[in-house]
Amino acid sequence: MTSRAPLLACIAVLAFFAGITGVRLAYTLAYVLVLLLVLAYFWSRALAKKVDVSRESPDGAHMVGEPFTERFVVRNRSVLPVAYCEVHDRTRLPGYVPGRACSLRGGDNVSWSARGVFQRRGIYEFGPLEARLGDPFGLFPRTVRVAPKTGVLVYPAIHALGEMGPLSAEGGVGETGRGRPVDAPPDVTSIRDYDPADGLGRIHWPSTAKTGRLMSRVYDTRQSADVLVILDLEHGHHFGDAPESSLEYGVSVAASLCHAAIRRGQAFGLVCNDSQHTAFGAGRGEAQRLRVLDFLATCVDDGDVPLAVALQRHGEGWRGRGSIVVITSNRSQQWVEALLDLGVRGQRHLAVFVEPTSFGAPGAPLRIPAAWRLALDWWQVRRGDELGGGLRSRAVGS
Amino acid sequence: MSATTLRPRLGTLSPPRLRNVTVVSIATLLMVATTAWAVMSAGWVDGTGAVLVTAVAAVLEATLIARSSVGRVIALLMLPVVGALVVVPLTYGSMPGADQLTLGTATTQYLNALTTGLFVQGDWPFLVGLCGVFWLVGSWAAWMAVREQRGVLAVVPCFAVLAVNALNAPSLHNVFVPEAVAVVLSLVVIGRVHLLALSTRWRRSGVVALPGTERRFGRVTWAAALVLLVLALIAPPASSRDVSGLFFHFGNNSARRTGTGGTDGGNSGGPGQIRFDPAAVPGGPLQSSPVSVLSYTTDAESAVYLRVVNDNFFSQGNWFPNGPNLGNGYGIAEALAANGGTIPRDRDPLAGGVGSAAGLKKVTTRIILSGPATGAGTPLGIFPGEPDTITVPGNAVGVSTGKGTGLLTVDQYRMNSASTLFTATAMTATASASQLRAAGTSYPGFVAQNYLGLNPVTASDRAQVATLVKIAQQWTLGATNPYDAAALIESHLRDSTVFTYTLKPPATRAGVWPVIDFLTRTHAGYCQYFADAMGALLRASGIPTRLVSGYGPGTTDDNGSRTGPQLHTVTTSDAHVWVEAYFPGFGWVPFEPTPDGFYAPIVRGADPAVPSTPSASSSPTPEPTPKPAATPPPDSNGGAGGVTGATIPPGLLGGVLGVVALLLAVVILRRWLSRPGTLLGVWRRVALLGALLGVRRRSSETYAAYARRLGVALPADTVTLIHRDGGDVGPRPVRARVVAALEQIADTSGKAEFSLSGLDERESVQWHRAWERIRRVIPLLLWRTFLTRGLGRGSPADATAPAYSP
Repeated sequence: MTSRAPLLACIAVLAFFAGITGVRLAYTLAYVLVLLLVLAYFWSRALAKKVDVSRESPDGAHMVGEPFTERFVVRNRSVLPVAYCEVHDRTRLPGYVPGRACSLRGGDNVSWSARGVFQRRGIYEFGPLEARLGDPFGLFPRTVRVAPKTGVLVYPAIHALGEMGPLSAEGGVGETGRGRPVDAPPDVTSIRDYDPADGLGRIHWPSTAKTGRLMSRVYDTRQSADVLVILDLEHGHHFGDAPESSLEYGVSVAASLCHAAIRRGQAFGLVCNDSQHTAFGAGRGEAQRLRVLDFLATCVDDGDVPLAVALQRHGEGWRGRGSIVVITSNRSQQWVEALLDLGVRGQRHLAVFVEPTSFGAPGAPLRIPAAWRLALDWWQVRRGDELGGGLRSRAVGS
Repeated sequence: MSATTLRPRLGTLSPPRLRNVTVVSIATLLMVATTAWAVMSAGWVDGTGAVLVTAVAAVLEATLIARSSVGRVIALLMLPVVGALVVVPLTYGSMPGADQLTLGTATTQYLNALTTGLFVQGDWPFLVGLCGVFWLVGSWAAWMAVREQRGVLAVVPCFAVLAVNALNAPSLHNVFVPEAVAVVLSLVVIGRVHLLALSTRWRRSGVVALPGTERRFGRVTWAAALVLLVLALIAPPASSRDVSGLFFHFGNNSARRTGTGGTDGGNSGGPGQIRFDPAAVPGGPLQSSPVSVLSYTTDAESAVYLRVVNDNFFSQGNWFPNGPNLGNGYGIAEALAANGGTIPRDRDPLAGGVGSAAGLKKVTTRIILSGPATGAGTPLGIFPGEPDTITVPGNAVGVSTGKGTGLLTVDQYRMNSASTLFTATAMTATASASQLRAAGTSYPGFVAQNYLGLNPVTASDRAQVATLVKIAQQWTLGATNPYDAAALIESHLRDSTVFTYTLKPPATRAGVWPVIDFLTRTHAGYCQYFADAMGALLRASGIPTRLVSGYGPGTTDDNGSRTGPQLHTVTTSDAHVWVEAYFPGFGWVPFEPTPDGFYAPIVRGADPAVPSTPSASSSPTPEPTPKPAATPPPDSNGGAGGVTGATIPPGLLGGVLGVVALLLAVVILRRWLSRPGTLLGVWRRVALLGALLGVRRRSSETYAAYARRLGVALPADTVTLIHRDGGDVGPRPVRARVVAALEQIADTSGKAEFSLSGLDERESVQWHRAWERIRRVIPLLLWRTFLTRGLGRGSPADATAPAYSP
């Protein structure tokens, strides 16, 4: 029952008795209630049309941990005062509540700044912004959508990983004498839309002529990657709630590896066993980095392909150039054995094991046998570990 | 229009502040208390201070319970217990016969009073019922406001009480202002409760209210409430006619307490139309909008008074009819059926009945009803004197002989059907003045028992009865018999140099019977006031008295087109009340104390000593001289019974306009203070502040020097604040801030005046903010100055005020 129902009943009864008795005071009481209803309605209606809310929000891509500021301005273009204006932002950004309540005189405006920090990766929206306002008696509250929403992409946190095997100088372009990146011509697997970053030599002219728009070749460069990261996104192996979850830690490590490798000029590839079987062929440069980070910003552990199978599948064409980095919370032995099968002489792979028990998974922590330590580089990540710097110092068995 | 940048700190999501709840509680308390004040001002009963105490206690109790974690069921159970603890001590002392009552009897009386007290006569039950109502209203309002946060529901009972009060109050003279205040407060309660609900929602959803939101919200609510009230007062009523009788029937009792209210002929409760009403309750102003209700012919030589109801019972300055169904317990009344024809009544004059002995004359009238002449409900018979016969079957109501065989009096005749044409015969007294002087005081038992009482109940009643007795003794000084005493009282009241007939009597003081106020102070009123006063004074003199409600003679149709008896037309404006006194052997003899210029004194029988009017000089009829023409009363508004606009009381209108003007002045001053366009404008405002503080700028004094001198004159920070948590946080450091702001403005002014570059944007903003800091504390500065030395007195700049040392 709203507040209007008892008020209407009061008015009806009072008006009836005032009408049949002709008592002036009874009329006054009835008039007060009628005018209250009328005034409240038109006041609320007028304000809904005359109150503007504008905002200046961040846009584009950001990273977890990055602070931001939003600025709001509420303008009352009416001569009537605004008893209250409640600004609500429907954003799903975790930990960010920019809504405020204010009261304005006629023709006045109010502004404020709201500060927040991007706490989780993903695609988020600022807004839509709603203003709840109305008459001071609460009889006709109104909600108006006053500002559209704007999107923002939040990349996972990127940490400075420091020196580690796959990212060491030997794997960089500085050692071009080995000729690994250039000596192996990539296979053309498909075509895609032309990207301004593509060279003219990459344009696939027959397809361009056929489709009427510029098309570029897509090379299968996975085999020629300096660093190939295999991120385990199989459902059921990650534990914990974001941002303190094994998945977030793993994604952050993957993003940090990508960032570090590309900054070193290395070719970086990423393979995931998610439901889409996402795979990024080896590539260099900012475009590759952004492509990978875009994916990592939104990836979820929804895959059903075991990590071991994914390793076998993607390892078949592995030419033994560069290193493979496996990031997982899977405690089974199969994937380790599959990774060991991919090993070639003189090449060591890295297993980043995000210890699930530290994120609340039942069971005992993974015990890494000595044989595995000899064959692989191991980095065990636990909840609360500082991922930045000194990675090598925490690596096990390297 | 300036943008205000507010930077609330993140992470300060505080729960609804205690202040919100406190403000709501206080507003609710004031609303309920003002409602009680409105009821008290209506003059229902004495001792209504208990009502106010009950209302306040109810609000406090319900607020405390609502603030606690007690559930609804527990609160509901606590309600009657705590209510009894409050109401009983307040009312037990005034309970009739409280000393002899047992606990069970007293409990029963309280239960009866709580359930039916508002619907029966008697002060104590009514007072207890009123206390019970206000306990419920106060508890409901506070609970709904504080716990449920439903503003409209919280104020609905208060509005109901205000409406019932407005519709039924015995006197509306003193009710307008408290009702208006209560209405404003109820609107404020709705607004503040809404703010409380909003605060709760904001807290739950993490929305932070910017500083000043609550303050501005409160201002807007107050302004809206006042505007609504003013508009409602200005708006004219759609109708001022009382047609409640078409919808409700409350019997022939006084409807003032339980009935439909309104204003009736000769019986007024407030502004309204003259109309017949069975009770005689002097009230507010009347308007005359005559609507024809009946026509009649008579075999008398002239027009006659038309009797409808006898008012036998006097209570607290008012006269009421009685009867077997009225439940008031007063008088010995009985209803006897009459099948048309002779009414079964005792006709022995010696026993108190009306017979056909010498001194009585039979008058026959043929009555044609054209409207609800006797009000809503059971149609009543209309007689030209003491009822004798009537052609319509019905029930005669009056004082019984006690043998079941007849009635000693016929106080009203309830017709079985709403016949529009009937013939009624009545007996009229023709005794001469000398006969009445010699009548003596051997009153029959039923007369002495029922027609002499003034029925005081409370101490206030007794005091006012004593006043009546004193006046009666003064006025009847020298009278040796009841008739002379009655004639003296009548002549006193008809003295136009002392008493004035008016349809707009002055307001009656609260707590004083209208009749007492009429006799001792106002000396102005209409027929009810005069008849009421004469009746009360006669009883105070020991003369059996009753009042008669009915109609005056009306207007004679003298256009000559009609053959046979003359037709007399009676309208609602002919409704009238007159007095009858009992004289042994002659029965009830009428008196006419109303000096309106149309109703002449009653002409007695053949008594050469008494002057008579031309029409009555040859007639022994005791009925009064008919009205000479169909002229409305001198101060009536005339009109033909249409809708007439009621007027706003001038005092209230003036008060409202004054308040509006004051508010307007405050708003203009605030706007002027808050919007200085230039630095010069700021200094003009500072100069005003300085003048109020007694520090005027000297000629050739620089702004900086003036600012320093003004800073010295500012009152010290002596008012200690108590922190919300209870700690002492010391005085609010206003002085230092104002001095700093003044110096900043002075520096900026110097730069603006002498610097080639002038002020940059930052400095412009700074002097605006500096002035804003000063403006906000101007009331506090003035208040502190007032507390320390009084405004405008002394020369504070040279006084001993401590010098400011930053």
